[in-house]
Amino acid sequence: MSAEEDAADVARVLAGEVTAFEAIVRRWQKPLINLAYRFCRDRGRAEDMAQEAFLRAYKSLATWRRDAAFSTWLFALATNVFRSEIRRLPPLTAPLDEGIAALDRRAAEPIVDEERRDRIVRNAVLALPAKYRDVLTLFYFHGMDVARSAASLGVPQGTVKARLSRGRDILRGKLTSLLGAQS
Amino acid sequence: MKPEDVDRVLSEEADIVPSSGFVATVMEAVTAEATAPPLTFPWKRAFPLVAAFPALLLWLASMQTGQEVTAPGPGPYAWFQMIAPMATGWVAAGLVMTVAITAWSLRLVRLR
Repeated sequence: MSAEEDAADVARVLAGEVTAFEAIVRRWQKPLINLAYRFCRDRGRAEDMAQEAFLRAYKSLATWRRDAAFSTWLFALATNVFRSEIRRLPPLTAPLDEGIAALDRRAAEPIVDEERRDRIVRNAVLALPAKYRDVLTLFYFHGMDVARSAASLGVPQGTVKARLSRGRDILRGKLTSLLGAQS
Repeated sequence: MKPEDVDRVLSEEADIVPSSGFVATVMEAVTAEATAPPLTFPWKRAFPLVAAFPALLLWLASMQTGQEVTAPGPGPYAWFQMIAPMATGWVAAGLVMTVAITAWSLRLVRLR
């Protein structure tokens, strides 16, 4: 993904060439949909959320200041959209309860179904308080990069580190109660 | 479950692939947004209020004048004369705020 291509496409869109926005959508659709998916765990809703983020990006394209990379600006904008959307309509966390019930049934058995265990871990992140959920979601989405996570959230890196530490503690506590017997 | 296992589960998540029509759907929405006429101030709806305010002022002024001519001395509008000096500042501030908020709203509408 090229920063020059982004800058050139943005310039064309701002000059009135709406179709140039398609290249931006093609370039960033996968990252944005995947980030949205990590916030809601619903494929259809993730696409709706990503579409809203692209639309918002189109409307406020003129506010992109070129002192930051286009990707940084786009992820920050998309993160805001996704967080608002999740606040408006929280994702269903039923699979977490389903996971607990399943673990209760087979409490004495080791977890052989790694897929189910992974789903429980991911849903446990969704069930965290929003400020920890957002930091953890972005931290792992950005390949455990604190600086990029901080840029997406618009908070200092120190805040990200503190929330990351606290969020991981809470997550560890949740997972110990959920998967403790098997860990 | 060890912390490194949690890191692995959360960082090594398989990517989902966008559906084939995603780009087209987004561009449809973007084109609709680009071609939509800009929002205009609803002057028709605002007209009654815009017209009523000066009419009210005129009515008050005419009543005041009529009162002075026909019935000198303290009348039903004496309170108006009493509070007018105190209220002028507040009224002016209210008008300035109204103008500022209207200008700001119109600017936001133009930015959309």
